[in-house]
Amino acid sequence: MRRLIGLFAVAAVAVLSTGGVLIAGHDLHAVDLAHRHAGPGAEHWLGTDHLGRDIFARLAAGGGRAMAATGLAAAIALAGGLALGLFAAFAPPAARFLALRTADLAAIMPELVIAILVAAALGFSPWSIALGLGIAGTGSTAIMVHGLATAAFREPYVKAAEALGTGPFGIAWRHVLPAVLPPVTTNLAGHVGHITMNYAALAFLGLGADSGAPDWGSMLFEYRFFLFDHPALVLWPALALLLFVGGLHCLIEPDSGSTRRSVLPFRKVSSP
Amino acid sequence: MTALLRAVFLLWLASLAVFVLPALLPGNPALLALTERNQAATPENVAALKAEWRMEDGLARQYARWVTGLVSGDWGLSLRSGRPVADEIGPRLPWSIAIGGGGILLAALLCLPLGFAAARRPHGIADRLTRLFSIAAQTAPSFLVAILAAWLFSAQWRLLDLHTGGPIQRVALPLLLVGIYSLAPLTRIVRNCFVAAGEQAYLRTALAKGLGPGQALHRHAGRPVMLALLAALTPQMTWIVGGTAVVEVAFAIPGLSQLVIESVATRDYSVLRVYVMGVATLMVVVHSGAELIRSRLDPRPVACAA
Repeated sequence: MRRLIGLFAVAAVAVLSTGGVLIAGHDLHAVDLAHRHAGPGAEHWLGTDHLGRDIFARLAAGGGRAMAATGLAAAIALAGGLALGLFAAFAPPAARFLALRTADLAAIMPELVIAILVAAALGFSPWSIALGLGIAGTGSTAIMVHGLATAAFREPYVKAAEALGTGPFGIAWRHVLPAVLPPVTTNLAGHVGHITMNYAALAFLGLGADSGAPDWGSMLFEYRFFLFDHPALVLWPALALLLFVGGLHCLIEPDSGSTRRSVLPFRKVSSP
Repeated sequence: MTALLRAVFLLWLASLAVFVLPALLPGNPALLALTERNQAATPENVAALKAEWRMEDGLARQYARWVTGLVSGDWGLSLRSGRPVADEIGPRLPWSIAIGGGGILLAALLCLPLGFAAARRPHGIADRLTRLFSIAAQTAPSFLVAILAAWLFSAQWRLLDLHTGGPIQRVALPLLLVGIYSLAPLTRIVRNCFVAAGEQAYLRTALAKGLGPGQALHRHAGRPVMLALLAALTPQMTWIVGGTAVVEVAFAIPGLSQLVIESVATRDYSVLRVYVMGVATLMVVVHSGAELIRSRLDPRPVACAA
């Protein structure tokens, strides 16, 4: 039930964002000072902002960018983490030490700081932010991959493959990767909402995109002064973000329950 | 000893990444700095500026000079303003430390009683409330809550003077917000760890001896909970750095965040490098310190994670 609600929320935002760009038919930057703060209607579905720009069109464009950046960051974290982690698992001790410390560094540095550094070097764009957030995710993924891969090495089937003369790449591809991939992707999926939130936070800081291009976070920053008089301007981007991130949490969160009996609870306990 | 070596190695890696990456990438801070000084970007001016920044030496020598400066406290000049980086960072640091440090302190102090109350009666009122609270903190973005809180407290209720008031008035709300956001996950971890301790045989023994559930938890589950809290505080510190930055901007606090954003916009690498190295040092120290305390308290690895 919870997953269904989550799926519905995420799908709604995704469809509205991708479809919205196509059907809204408004220029994102078309300033129309005659129709500032117009209410919702047939012409502007969610009304217009303080410059007469169509809110729905901006919201949809922001959603598309947020989703693309999130997907890219997650893909970079997965690919980079797998590469670095497997390299560490197969490499000789010195190279392993270097790879693991690099992963440690990426894992302990705040995501926002890594993203800011990458944005400073590559310039403001959703892609540089996605790259930064992806690199930040690479660290913890690589540490996890390395742990799972070294555990897989101890399995008899890997030993058997080694004895049969399979090379390191064959072992990595056919025997280690299938053991590593499911927990790693599950873990990463649990962090996807987190990535979207970080992207929105960076956009709020003004580091998400080239100025003027709409992002949910930058819309919240731009419209924050209108909280008094036109709360709808803040409400819509906030609602989009809440729906999307909350939906992802509901959709992906694993429902693990403690099965052991505790002496304290007098009813069944489930972890949150 | 190995822990110390490891920490130094991590910092060396960080310094290498921070120094080399921007230097290799395209984008020219010299042009931006010249615009800032209202000078024409003629080749002579660019060359003069590069000479001023001593950029015509090789990368290795620049790095060596930078690292020795960093360690000895000479952090160089801001490329944007030309003032010493230390002078740029100095007056802003107390704001950020007050908000971030105060926030995590608040969270660390409050999560113990709250988590205990929630664990005392699973599915009771305290448990439900803290759970709701942690879900809310996970989904509601801090910057949105910050905007709302700023509006409510200063414009609607007129309780705080957020922009013109004294430092305490300005810091109070951001500090509280950062604290509350850290409190939510920490409370759940403390609660889960207390509940996990409740499943242990030694706790059943304590109950059999005649202690009440609350007493038993208090006396026998304290140490594993402290260890789990210690393990949870270190990743929370990671969040604090980013969270403080966002909240500072929302409340227009003249902290580090503003400086960093300006420095990104003008590619002021000398400020950014010092900032990133500062954050890296903080993180490495926190992680190594927590690991050290943990190994002193309990040589076994922690089992009751969230």
